[in-house]
Parts: sequence; structure tokens; C-alpha cells
Amino acid sequence: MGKKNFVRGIIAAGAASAALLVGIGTAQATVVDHANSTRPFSATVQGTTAHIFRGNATQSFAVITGIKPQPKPPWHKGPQQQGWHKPQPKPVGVSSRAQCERWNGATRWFESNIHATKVGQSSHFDCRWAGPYNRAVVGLGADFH
Amino acid sequence: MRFRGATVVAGIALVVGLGAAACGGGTQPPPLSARGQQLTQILSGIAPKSVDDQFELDMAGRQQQLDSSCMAAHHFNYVARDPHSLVDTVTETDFTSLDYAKTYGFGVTTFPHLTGVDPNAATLAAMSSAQQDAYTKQLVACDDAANQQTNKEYDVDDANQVFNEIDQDVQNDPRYRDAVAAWHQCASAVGYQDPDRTSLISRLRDRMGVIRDDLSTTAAKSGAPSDATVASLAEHDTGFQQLHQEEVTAAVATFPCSQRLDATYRDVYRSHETSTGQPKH
Repeated sequence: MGKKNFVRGIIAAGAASAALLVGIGTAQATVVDHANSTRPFSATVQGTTAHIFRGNATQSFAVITGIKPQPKPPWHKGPQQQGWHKPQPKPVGVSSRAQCERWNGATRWFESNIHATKVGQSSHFDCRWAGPYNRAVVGLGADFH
Repeated sequence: MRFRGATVVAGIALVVGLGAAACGGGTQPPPLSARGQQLTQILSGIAPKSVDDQFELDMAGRQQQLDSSCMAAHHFNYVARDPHSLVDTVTETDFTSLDYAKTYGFGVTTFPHLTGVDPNAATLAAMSSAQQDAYTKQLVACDDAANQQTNKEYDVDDANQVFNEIDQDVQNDPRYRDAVAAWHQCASAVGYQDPDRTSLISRLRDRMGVIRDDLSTTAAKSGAPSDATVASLAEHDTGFQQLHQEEVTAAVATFPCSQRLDATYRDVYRSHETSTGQPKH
């Protein structure tokens, strides 16, 4: 029962993330979350590298440390023998995410609506703004979109 | 004349002192708004998960509304985001549900589930570098103000203060202490020696952190660091699977113990809430 539900949970999470990967609507997004860990880490998605770290006991930060220019798209012959190129994914921005903890050990994830798009810009989420879940940040993440 | 003045001052001090003593000798908790009272009910576990979820969504929605107005006042267009894209209302810990325990355990070996997208990303991407700087700088300023305003409107600080004071009383109450001891006895009987539920969760969380770091490193090396990749790796990772099973087993096995403990907490909380002058529910 537990395993079945777990697989369901994984499929749901995977499907949700996959849906985000292929893009719902007009935007593409890739989420990179390190639940239950506040060790700093870096992640690169579509040429954008962000360093994700804990600011203080309640803050999660994502700072863009590099944006790699996307490779020049290859040329292809179109149906009418006209030259055209397929669109390449553009570098993405980043919003920080935080797993915030409540006094009794319960946790909930939040995302910042600050969207950093340039090298040196940062996005942060402070669990102090998370209502009941304001004791500490216990997991760090980022939404690349 | 000087003597009379000193007598008056001493008299006032005595009256103030007696007044403070009559009120319990400490700082009287601030009177809470309806939202503040609701928040204390959420914190104490008296309010159900649906109220907790809605409270978070309402706060996020209000904060987005304030962001949008503030940006407009500075001649920027900011479309309020769907609160579900900012708050996870699917996988957050729910100690009250056996179904949750069977699916997610305590919520340690789970993946966040936020839905929807940022409607402003495309607008921002189309801006020049200088415009992006100005937009982001303004949004950060608006967002800080919006968060502070929302916290005020939802009485977050005062509600937490009230909750913390009552929680201290609960933690020191013999009825709750007995219930914690009973939880330990109950959990030990089904194989868990942890002194309390929080310690049990912390132990699982520490192990999960190590496994998650390993899986994330592998995912990053593959060039696809996303949660989707980690979830896919986790499906075939013996350590993760084992931990997930252990978590679910522990959450289900200790569920009756936790239900009794949480019920006692709520009862004792209510009794102290009434004695501190906070409204009855």
C-alpha cells in the first residue's frame, strides 16, 4: 500500500516536474530542490548557473553566478529550400525556493516571486513571511524559468 | 513637598505593580485580530489542514495583490502570481491524516509540488538589461513592503508571540508532560526509541539529507539536475526506497500514539488559552 502510494507520489512529482520541463503555457521551468538539507549547492539549467545557499536561519537565497551564451543555432533546410533555424532555449532566470519548518517539525515549501535574470542578481525567500512555518529554513531550492 | 512627591510616585508604582501581579506578573499578550486568532489555532493544531492551506494561500494572494499595486504605482506591470505557484498545499506535512502517513510518511521523502507558472517571466525576458535592473530593483522593494504589510494584516508576529507564550505553558504542564512520556512508551512498544516525534523526524531528515545530496550530485553530473531527474533516480535507489519505507512504516506505526499526544496538546492548549485571556473557541 505504502509502496504503491509512494510510486504514485513519485509519478505525480515526476509528471509535474516533467510538465514544467516541457513548459506549461509560454514558460519553461526546471525546479532543483534539496529538501532536508541546507548545504549550499550550485545548479546549471539552460546555461544559467545559480548558487543556492542559506542566508540566515530563515532565508534561502539563489544568486545567478553565470549565464553561458547559448550556442549559435544550426541552419536547416526548410520545406521550401529556404534557410531557417530552430529556436534554441534561451538562458533562464531563477527564483529561490525554501522548505520552511514549523515549531512541531512539520514543513512546507514556498517559492519567491523575485525572479533574478542577470549575473549578480539574487532571489530570496524568508520563512519569516511563511505564517506558521517561520521557525527555520530546512531545505533549499530554485526554480529556473 | 519632596516627601509628598515621593509618596505619590511610590503609590503609583504600587498600584501598577499590583495590577501587573493581578495579570499574572508578565507582559499581557496583545489582543489578536480574527486572523491572528486563526493563526494561533493553526499553530496549535486545533484548526484543520484545510484552514492552514487556505491561510497560506490567502497570505500569498494578498502579498501578490500588494506587489501588483506597488509595481503599478511605480509604472511597472506586474501580474499577480497564482498563490499555488508560491505555496505547496499538496505535500506539506500533515500529522492529522493516516492517508498522508501511508503516502508520504512525515513528509521527509517527498518532492515539493507547486503548480502554475510565473506570468511575468516572458515580460522580464523581453526587457533590456537596464529595464530588467530597474524592474527587479523595484519588485524587491515592493515585495519587502508587501511581506511586511501582509504579516501585519495577518497578525503574524503577535499571533506567534501569543502562541509561543501559551506553548511554553503547555510544555510545562504535567498533563502534556505525561502525554509526551506516554508517546515515548507507545512508540517504544512499536519499535521506536526516540524521545518524541520531532526527534524521530529529525533522525529521518538527517538520513534523507545525505541520500538527497548523493542523488542530486548524480543528477547534476548527468546534466539534468531537476527534481524530475532526482525523482527518477530515487525510484531505483535502494537507499532512498528503504528510507521511504522506513518513514512510512514509522509514521503509520506511531500514528495512534501521535493522535493521542496531539489531542492532549490541543486540550491543554485550550485550557491555558482561556486562562491567558485569549478568546475561547
